[in-house]
Amino acid sequence: MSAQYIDWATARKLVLSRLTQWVQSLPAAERMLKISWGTYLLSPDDMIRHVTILDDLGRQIVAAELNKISQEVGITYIIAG
Amino acid sequence: MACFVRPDYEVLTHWVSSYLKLAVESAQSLGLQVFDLYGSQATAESFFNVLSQFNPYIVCSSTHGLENVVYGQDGTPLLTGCVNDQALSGKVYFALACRTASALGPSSISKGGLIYWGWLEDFIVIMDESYPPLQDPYAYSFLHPILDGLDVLFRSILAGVDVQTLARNVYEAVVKSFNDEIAYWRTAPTATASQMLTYLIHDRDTFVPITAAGIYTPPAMVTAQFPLQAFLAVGAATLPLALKGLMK
Repeated sequence: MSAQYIDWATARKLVLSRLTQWVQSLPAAERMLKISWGTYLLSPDDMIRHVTILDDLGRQIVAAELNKISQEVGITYIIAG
Repeated sequence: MACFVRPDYEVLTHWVSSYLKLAVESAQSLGLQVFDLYGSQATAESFFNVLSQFNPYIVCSSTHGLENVVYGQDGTPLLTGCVNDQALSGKVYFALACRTASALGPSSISKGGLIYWGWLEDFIVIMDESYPPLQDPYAYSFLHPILDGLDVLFRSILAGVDVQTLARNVYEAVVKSFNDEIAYWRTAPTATASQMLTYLIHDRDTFVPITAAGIYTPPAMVTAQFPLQAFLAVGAATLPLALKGLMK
């Protein structure tokens, strides 16, 4: 697996694309799902909002999502900066 | 003898305490004496009363956590590194909580704790509140591996295995169970399957057992890919530093 350094803006773009695709594909029942993340209880739309503003939680979401994207595409993304 | 601490005061603690109740019943059915501190009883006062009077060998909790704190009912601190974690001396502790393996875990081991199983980062769960907790097909995948690990914990202790074997047995049972769930969601025909995989992999790869020998590292990482190796490598490298810092 090769490694690639990217900045936060690029990481956010990759993850937002993936999350948006997921949310748009959700049937109504799955839009009601909640994601318990630390002390937060998030809806899919909440996740997109945090990633968009890239607050502390948004950065954690980006890191976890990027990990999965890395495995899917065979590139180890390393966020620099 | 085992002590369970199960706060129940909001959605996540309601979900995880429901699952840990199954572990309470499992321990009882295996013949272990059990203290089940649930809801309003899941406080530091009740917990330390049980520890001082009965000295249980096994402690399990399902609750919120931060790096150095495990919380009890209504978010009140239950255990804090370098404040009262010496209470875990001579015990094995399974902490279903976010992040505590990064600081509280090493701190308690430096004070004589035998094994600390916990998570280096946030423990993430997808939940569907339209189901009762135990029938939620999403949450089940995240919480069933914990029940599998606890079952192995109880049975291994009753079989008299040594500490290192116990740490490894429970770790491997949890990881295997996560891998089974990951295999299921790889083929599940639902839009959320991909997100389930993301967080199941995250929860699996941030779970660690800590003993006085350090963080257990499996001899061959055949099931996990690079993230687990990276986490364990970083954890193993930083544990001595963390312990050194905590002892200052």
